[in-house]
Amino acid sequence: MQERNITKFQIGLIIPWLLVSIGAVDLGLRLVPRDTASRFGVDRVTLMTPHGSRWRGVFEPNLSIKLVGCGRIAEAANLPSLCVPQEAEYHTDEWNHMNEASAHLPGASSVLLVGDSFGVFSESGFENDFARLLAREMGQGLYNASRPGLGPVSSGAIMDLLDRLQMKRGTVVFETSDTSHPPRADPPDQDGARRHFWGLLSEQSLALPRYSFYKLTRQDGAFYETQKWLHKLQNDLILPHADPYWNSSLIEKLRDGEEIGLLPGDRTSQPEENTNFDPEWERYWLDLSVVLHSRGVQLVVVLIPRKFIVYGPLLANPAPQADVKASYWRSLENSLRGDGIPVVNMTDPFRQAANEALGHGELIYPRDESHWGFKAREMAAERVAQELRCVLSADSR
Amino acid sequence: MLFNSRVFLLVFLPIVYFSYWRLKSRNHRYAWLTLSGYVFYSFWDYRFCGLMLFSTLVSYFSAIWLDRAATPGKRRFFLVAPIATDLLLLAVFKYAGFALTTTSRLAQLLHVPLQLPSIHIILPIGISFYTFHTITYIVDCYRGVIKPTRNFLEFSCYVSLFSQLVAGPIVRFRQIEQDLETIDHARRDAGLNIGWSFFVLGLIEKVLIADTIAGSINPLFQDFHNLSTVSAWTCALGYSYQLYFDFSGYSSMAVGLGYLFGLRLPQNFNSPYKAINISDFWARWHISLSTVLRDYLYIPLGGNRHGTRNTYRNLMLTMLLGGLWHGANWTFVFWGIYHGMLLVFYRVTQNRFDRLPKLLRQALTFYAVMLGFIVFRCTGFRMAGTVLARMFTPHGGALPTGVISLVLALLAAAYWAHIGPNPFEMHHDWRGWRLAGLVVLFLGSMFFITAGHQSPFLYFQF
Repeated sequence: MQERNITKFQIGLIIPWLLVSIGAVDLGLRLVPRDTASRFGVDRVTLMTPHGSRWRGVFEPNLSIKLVGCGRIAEAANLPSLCVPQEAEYHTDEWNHMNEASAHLPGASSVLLVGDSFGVFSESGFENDFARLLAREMGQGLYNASRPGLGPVSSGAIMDLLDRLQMKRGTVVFETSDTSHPPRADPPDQDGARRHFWGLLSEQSLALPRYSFYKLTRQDGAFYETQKWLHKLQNDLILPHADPYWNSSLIEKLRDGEEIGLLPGDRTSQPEENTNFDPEWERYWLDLSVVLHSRGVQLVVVLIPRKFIVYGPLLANPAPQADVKASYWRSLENSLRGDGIPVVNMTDPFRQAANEALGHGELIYPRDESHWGFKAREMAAERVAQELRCVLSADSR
Repeated sequence: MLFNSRVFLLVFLPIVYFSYWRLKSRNHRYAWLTLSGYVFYSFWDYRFCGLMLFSTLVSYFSAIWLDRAATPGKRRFFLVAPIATDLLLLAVFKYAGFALTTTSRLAQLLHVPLQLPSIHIILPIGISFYTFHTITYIVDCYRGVIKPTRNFLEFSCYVSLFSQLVAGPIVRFRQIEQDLETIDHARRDAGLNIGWSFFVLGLIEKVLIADTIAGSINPLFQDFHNLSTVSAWTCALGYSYQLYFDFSGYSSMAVGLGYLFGLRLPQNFNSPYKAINISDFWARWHISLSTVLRDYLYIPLGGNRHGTRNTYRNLMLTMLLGGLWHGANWTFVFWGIYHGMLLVFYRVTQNRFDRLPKLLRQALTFYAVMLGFIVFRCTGFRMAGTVLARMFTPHGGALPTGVISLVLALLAAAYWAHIGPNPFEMHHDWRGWRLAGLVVLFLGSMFFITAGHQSPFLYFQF
C-alpha cells in the first residue's frame, strides 16, 4: 500500500471534514425546535390491516397532532416553490375522525358529514374546517366523518356510522369533488384491494403491509430543505419527476400574472370529452338515498368543484376543459334533483366568487394546494345550511 | 444500509472507522469488523444474520477438518459437504421458487396433472456473494493454495466484511489473507487518500451517473409498451451505462472502504467498454466473478484442453451457470447462453475479427454487450422482445424526460467508459482545480443523497 503524507489540502482529510460538517448541519436541523425545522413531506407507504380487523381509514383513533407543512392535508402541490408553510393542529376521536371528543355521544349529532373536502382545513386551523363553520351556521351538533383523499364510501359504512352515533333521524351531507371515478363498493374491507389515497397515519398502525398509499410524514430538516431544491430541478426538463407525487403539481399563471398550483391531469382531458356523468354515480346516490330514507334520514349531496374547474377560465391561458367539467356537475345536479335528492352545487357560485375575488388579487382556493380555502368553505357552509334548513322544514311538515 | 445513504456516511462509517483505529490488537480488529459487518447486514433483515453465521461456521470447521484429514476420501468429504451446504442454501433461497414455477409450467405444457405449491421465499441479500466467498475458501484449502486459518474471528471477518458483503467484489481469501494477517500493523494514514479517492469516485459513478440515467430510463422501461424507437435506443444505451456505473461505483466504494481499514480489495472492473472483443470484455467486466467462474468451473470442466467441441461446451456451460448466478429467471439464463454463444462465435471467427480496425472491434463488442443487457434488464422475454422490436422498427411513442440531465450523464458516462481512465488507472493525487472539481461533485452527490434521491445498487438483487 502506497504511503502518503496527509496535508490539509488532500482528499483524505477534506472529505471526512465535509462529512463531519454535513453531519453537524443535519444534526443541528434535527435538534432545533420541531415547529420550525420539522416538515411534513410525502412518503409512499404500504399498509396491511391486521388480520380480521376492520379497516377504518387513514386516521388513528385519539390522535393529537400538530404539524407544520405546506398545504397540510392537501392532495397535491404541497412543496413547489410557491408553497407557504402553515401550521395546523387537530385531533381525532376514538373512531378516527376529526371531531371533538363529545361529538359522537349518543344523540349529540343530527347531521353526518361524509366525503373528502369536508375533512380539509387549509388556510385556517382545525377549528375552521367546513364542519365547524356549518355547525356555527346551523347552531346544532354534527359529526364529521369525512376522510381527505378518500372517495365515496359505501352505504353499509354510512349505516354503520349512523348506528354507532345512534342517529335515528337527521341528515347525511355527502360531498364529492371526484368526477373521474364512479363510487367504489365498500373497498376498505376487501383483502388485497389496493388503493391510493392521502392522509396522515402514525407508524404504529403499519402493522402489516397491504394497502399502498401516500402519507404525510415528518421529515428531518436536512431532507426537507434539500428535497425542496431537488424538486425545483425535477421539472421534467432538467431532471425527471422522481415520484408520482411530483406529477401531481402543475404551476399555471392566472390572468393577473400570479402563479397557482393545479393538478396536471385536469389539463390533459380533452374539451370534447363527454359531458354526461357516469350513470353509476346517480345509481349510487339513489340507492343510498333509499337506504337512508328507510331509517328516516335524509340525504343531501354537495358538489364541490375541483380547483381547476373554478380557476380554469381565470388562467392566462384559459382551459376549455374546465367548462366541460362544470357542465358535468350541472348535468349531475339536474339529474339528482329530478330524482328528488337535494343537491347543493357550488360550481357556479365558486366560479363567480373566484372571478370577483381575483379582481382584488384574492383567491378562494389556496395558491399552493388543491383543496378549497377558508372563503370557499365559509360560502359553502352558508349554502349548505340554507339547504339543510329547507330539508328540515320540509321534513317537519 | 446503502453506501450512498446518510445513515451509512454520517453514522455507521464514522463510528466503525474511528473505533477500529483505536483498537490495537488483531483479534480486536477482526471482532470489530465482524460485528460491524453483522450490524450492516442486519439493516436489511437481521433474521438472515443466522444464515450467514451458519455458512461461516460450516466453512470454517470444514476447512480445519479438511486440513487434518488423513485420507483422500475424508478430504473429499470435507470439500463436498460445505460446498453442498452452501449450494443448498442458494438452491432453497434463490432457486426453489423458480424451479417449482418452471416445473409447473412444464407440466402444464405437457398436460401432466401436477399440482406444485407456488412459493415466494425472500432472497437474503448478498447470499450469492458470501456463499461464493466460502466456497472459494474451501476449494482453495482443498487445492492447498491456502492454509486454513485457525482464527475464527479472522475468517468471520473475511466473510462478513461490510465493504464487500452484499455485492462483492468476490474476494478470495488468498487475495486478502496477507492484509488480514497484518491487520494490526496497518497504518491509518496509509490508505486515507487513496481510500477516500476511490470511495468518492464510486459515489459519483453511482449517484451522479447511474442514478441520473436510471431516473430517466426506468419510467420508459416500466411503460415499455409505449416506447418509441428513440426511447428504446436510449433505454438500451442508458441501461448499459447505468449497470456499469452502478456496479463499478459500488466496487470502487468497496475498494475505497477496504483501503480505509487497511485492506486491499481486488479490481472488479477494468473499463469493460474498452474491450476489443467479447473475450476481452469478460476479462474486464465483473472480474472477480469471471475469474471465479474460470478457476472453479471452466478449468475444472476441462477448459480448452480437450479439443474444440469440449471447449465450446465448457464455455457455454460456464456462461449459462454464470447467467443463472445473476438471478432465478429465464432471462438471465438466456443472457448467459447469449454470452456463451458470443464467446464461441468469437473463437470461431477470431482470425478475421482481430484483423478489423480496433475502433470497429470496440464498437461491435459494445453493441453486442448492449443488446444482451436488454434481455438482462427486462423482466420477461415479451418485454425484451418489445424493446428490441422498437429499436429496429420505426415507432412513435413516449420520449424520455429529464433530457438535460440524461444527456449530460450519458456524455459523461460515454467519456468515462470508453475513453477516460478507470479508478484503478488514476493517480489519486488530487490537487488544484481537479481536487476542487472532485469536491464539488462529491457535494453534488451528497445533495442528492440528502434529498432522498437514492436507489439500491442493482447487484444487490443478485
